[in-house]
Amino acid sequence: MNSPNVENAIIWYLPLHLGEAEVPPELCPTRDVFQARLDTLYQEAVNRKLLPEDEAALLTAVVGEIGNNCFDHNLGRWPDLIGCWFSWTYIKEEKGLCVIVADRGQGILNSLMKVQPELKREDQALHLAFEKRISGRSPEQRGNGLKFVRSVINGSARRALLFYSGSASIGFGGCRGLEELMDPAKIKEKQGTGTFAAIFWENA
Amino acid sequence: MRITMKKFGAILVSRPAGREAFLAAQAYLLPPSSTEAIELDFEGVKVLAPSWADEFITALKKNYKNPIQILPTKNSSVIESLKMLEM
Repeated sequence: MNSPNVENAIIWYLPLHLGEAEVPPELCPTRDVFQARLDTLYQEAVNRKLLPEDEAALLTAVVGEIGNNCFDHNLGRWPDLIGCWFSWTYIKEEKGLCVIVADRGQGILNSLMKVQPELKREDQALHLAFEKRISGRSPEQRGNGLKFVRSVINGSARRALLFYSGSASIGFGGCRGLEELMDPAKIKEKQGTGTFAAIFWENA
Repeated sequence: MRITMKKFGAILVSRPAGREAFLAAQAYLLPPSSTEAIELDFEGVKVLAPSWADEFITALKKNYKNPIQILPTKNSSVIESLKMLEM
């Protein structure tokens, strides 16, 4: 995926030392900013005919779930930068989109350990988050957002998600060949946690 | 009674927004005592995500005994989000 948008997002996600990054224009410091840009994503996808309305609606719902999770699970406990990275690029000659949503928050494992103390590894936490109705926001009854994301992504081979938490990853949909979006050597060196989602959506 | 969901916005995605919408509906739209069915009309809503729907519809179910009906819609995000709530 040779796109400056994706490469810059990866650099932002992979700090060697927490607190070093500058605040990029792609950062949404609050949920309101994220929401406003999400509206723009939907309008752009429909108005530029990148996707049909129904597909743009599903993409927006998926991105909305992932982006809002950044705020829901890190409010009051961001390790360094507050907010989420949110950017998108056209792919397949403007017949699709690659959307990046990332944060430098606590990550999935730290969030779920509160309700599942036996969890030890980020990859276990990632599988649990996408497969079971579970949320770190106990005692609230939540936890269906990532199941929705998985279900929608798996609904078509033209959709794909590659999701990192810390240095662990999980993929769904037609993302074969995208597994090495992150340089394995660099991801191993990652300090801190955070989440990074690359969402690929092609027009039929 | 019928609630026109597009009056809460065209893109309904976050939990705080869903919670706020329910509280507003409770204050101004929902009947304090009635057994009439509550119809949710999503016509005109462009995007619905399950977090928003969970905050609104689950609170509706908890606080009101009225039957809840979803009016037919072709919007894929509404259909998929409501599936997550087993509606």
